[in-house]
Amino acid sequence: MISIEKISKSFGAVSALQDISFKINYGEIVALLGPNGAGKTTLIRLMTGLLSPDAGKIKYDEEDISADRVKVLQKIGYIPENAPLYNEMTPYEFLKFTSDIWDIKEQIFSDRLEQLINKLELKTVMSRPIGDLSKGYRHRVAIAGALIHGPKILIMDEPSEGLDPNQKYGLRRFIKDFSTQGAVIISTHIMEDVDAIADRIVMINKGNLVADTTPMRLKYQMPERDLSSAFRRITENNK
Amino acid sequence: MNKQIKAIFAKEFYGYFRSISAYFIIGLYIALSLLSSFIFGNFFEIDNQSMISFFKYQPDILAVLIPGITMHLWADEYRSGTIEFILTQPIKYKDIVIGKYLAAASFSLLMLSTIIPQTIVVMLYNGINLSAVTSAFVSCLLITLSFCAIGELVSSISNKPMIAYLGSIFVIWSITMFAPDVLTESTELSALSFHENYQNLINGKIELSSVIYYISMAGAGLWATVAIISNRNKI
Repeated sequence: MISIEKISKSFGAVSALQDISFKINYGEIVALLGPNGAGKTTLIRLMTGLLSPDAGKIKYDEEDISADRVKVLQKIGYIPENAPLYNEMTPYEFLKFTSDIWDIKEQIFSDRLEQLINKLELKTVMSRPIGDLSKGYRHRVAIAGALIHGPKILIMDEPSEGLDPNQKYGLRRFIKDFSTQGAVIISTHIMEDVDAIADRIVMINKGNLVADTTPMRLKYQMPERDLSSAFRRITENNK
Repeated sequence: MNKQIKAIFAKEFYGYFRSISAYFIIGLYIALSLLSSFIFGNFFEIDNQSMISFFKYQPDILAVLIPGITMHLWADEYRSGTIEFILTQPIKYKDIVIGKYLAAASFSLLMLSTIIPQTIVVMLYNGINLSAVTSAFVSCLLITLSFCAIGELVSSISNKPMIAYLGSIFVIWSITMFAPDVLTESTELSALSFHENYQNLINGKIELSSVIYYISMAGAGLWATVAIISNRNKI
């Protein structure tokens, strides 16, 4: 279980997150929703140990990421926004590099690589420089990199940004599959994604937690019965 | 060396050879070394058994070229966003810093190794004072190790490789050019002078204090880089 406990974070005089608390169970797909600048990326960076909170704790199976970053990161696969990768490497070189950092044994690496190549349909691009790949393929390579060590938790920041409808469909199907064996947290402001895959919505606005509910409940709280209206009403009410 | 440091080292070291810049830097080093030795160093006019004309300008050449080797180490990670990838891998910050440092230092040593053929030519032409040349080579090696650490440190606080390059040159030149006049006026402080320590070494005196001086400079640079990476509050 992932436990976010009274997290606060400021950058100078600007308060990015205030006293945020919620829990995520294995098997859940949680959409972290909020308008631009709400604090989603800050929360993701705190959850991946890139930033340290000013107050509060983030625990994975009772282990605090601030106390032992290296140990906790072994449970997480993280795909940052825009899937930044080393453009000069080929997907194979990137995945081998990632596997060496994780100290994965050669045989296990080969098996996982084969699985990921088949699942993410990467076979045709494995020897091409990443810099030459389309955005969709780059995303898939980043996903493969995040999964090469077999994590239990997948964290994705704006995963479908810039993908075409087919790529979005493939990504959603993949996230659904993954959630059967672990937890998925996606940060997004695309309601279509949330509606299609999320089991739960955690909404942040101006650094505050403003909703923690299911997509269905959120929809039916609004007369329009759709998520976009709910999003708009909640974030506008909190202005 | 653990496997994670090896992985970082291999990525960075082989990364140098993915572009023409590695060959350009090595070629430039050879050209500048020969130019300084034969034109500015008056190679044919002085007694060159210790290759003094060659080693005299090495700190200046290394001060310009090593920042070119280290500028990408962290600045590129910030610029391209891969900093989020590398810092969310289960690897200690110090291991990433060491892996990158070893790659830059190894490439720099490869560049320095081009001194060897030149030394052989001088040896055949003129004969050499082996102990003096060895001492001077060791001094170049120590300078390289310290400059690489300073270069990595400056690269860790910039998200633009060119700024990292110019910043490293500024810091290195501040240490090598500005300090001697101030420090050599005082006998006690002269042990902290870059040039005083370099002069000892190229004159064939390998003193422990000089070795400690350069190793400490490298250690301080690496320590500061780890501190910056560990304590960054914003990416």
